[in-house]
Amino acid sequence: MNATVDRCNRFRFGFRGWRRTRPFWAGLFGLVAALVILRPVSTIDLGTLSLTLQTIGGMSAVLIAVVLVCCAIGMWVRPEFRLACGVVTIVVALISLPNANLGGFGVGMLCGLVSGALAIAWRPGRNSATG
Amino acid sequence: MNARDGRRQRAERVSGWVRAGHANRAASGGTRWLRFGLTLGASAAVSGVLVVGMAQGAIAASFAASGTAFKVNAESLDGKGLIMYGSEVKSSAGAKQAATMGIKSGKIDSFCTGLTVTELPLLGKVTIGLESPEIEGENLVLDVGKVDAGTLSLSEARMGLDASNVGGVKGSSGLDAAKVRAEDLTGDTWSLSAGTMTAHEMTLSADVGDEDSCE
Repeated sequence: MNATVDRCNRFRFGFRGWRRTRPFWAGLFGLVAALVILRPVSTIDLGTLSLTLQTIGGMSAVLIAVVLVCCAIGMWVRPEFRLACGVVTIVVALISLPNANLGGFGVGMLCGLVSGALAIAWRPGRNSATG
Repeated sequence: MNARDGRRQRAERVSGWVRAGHANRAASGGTRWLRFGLTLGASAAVSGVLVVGMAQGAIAASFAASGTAFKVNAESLDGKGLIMYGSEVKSSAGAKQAATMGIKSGKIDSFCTGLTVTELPLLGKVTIGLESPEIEGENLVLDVGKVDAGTLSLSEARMGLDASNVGGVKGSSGLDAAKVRAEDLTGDTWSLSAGTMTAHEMTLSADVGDEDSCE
């Protein structure tokens, strides 16, 4: 019983510490943006109307989502590259507006902008190795 | 590096996270909110410029719609290189008879269309309206159910061609014309796709109800 509580606490504080040592929310917003932008590649059905992306729009949505995912994971595993990842995320999110179905109808682009701004604004704690 | 060293390194890294989780909040990483606000503000301004550019037609955005008929109104249509043949449109509501129209390059004045979206949860019927004083397109392909035109003029028209000559299925009948001009157009369209399509000063609106915003 005690051992289980210990393991839970170790996981809880370990996860908290992991979040505190990297731009966690920036990466999470980046993943959400990628998902939202990628979603319209399949057809959306609204009643009898279905909106489908054409091939070129669909391909750029895939490309943009892949770059966003790479940047989000990069922010998590290499917090020292947060500035580069953040700038790329912002630029790609802006490009998604005309190229990927209005940037996932605006939501994906906004998540991407928030992700990039959070990553650029993040600063490591004191006594941290990640400059 | 052997396997035992790797395990120990991983364990040390996890212990570091656990220590950071227990540590004082002030010692951990955080967000500089002023910098966040400035960055977000700057990028939002750039996206505003992009939206204005798209609305003015400087940056093209394209999509295709299908599955239900939508009403199209236009004051006039000028096109070069028209082909037309009977066809069948496959949609989520089954196959429909349609006429496929292809226009090599065309200009539409006072274009307006309303797409009625039926049975959206909570809201009921929703109509999406799209209006533009001027649309230019290349390689336009329309599947139309019905078109009424005030006047229609074709030049160098050939009617009663076999549809296979103009891109359709062999056996049905088709027509082609070098130039087409139609005025006061209204019609039901199944789908519209375009190689390139530029809409100037476009307005997009969504309204509850199934009234046609074009009339």
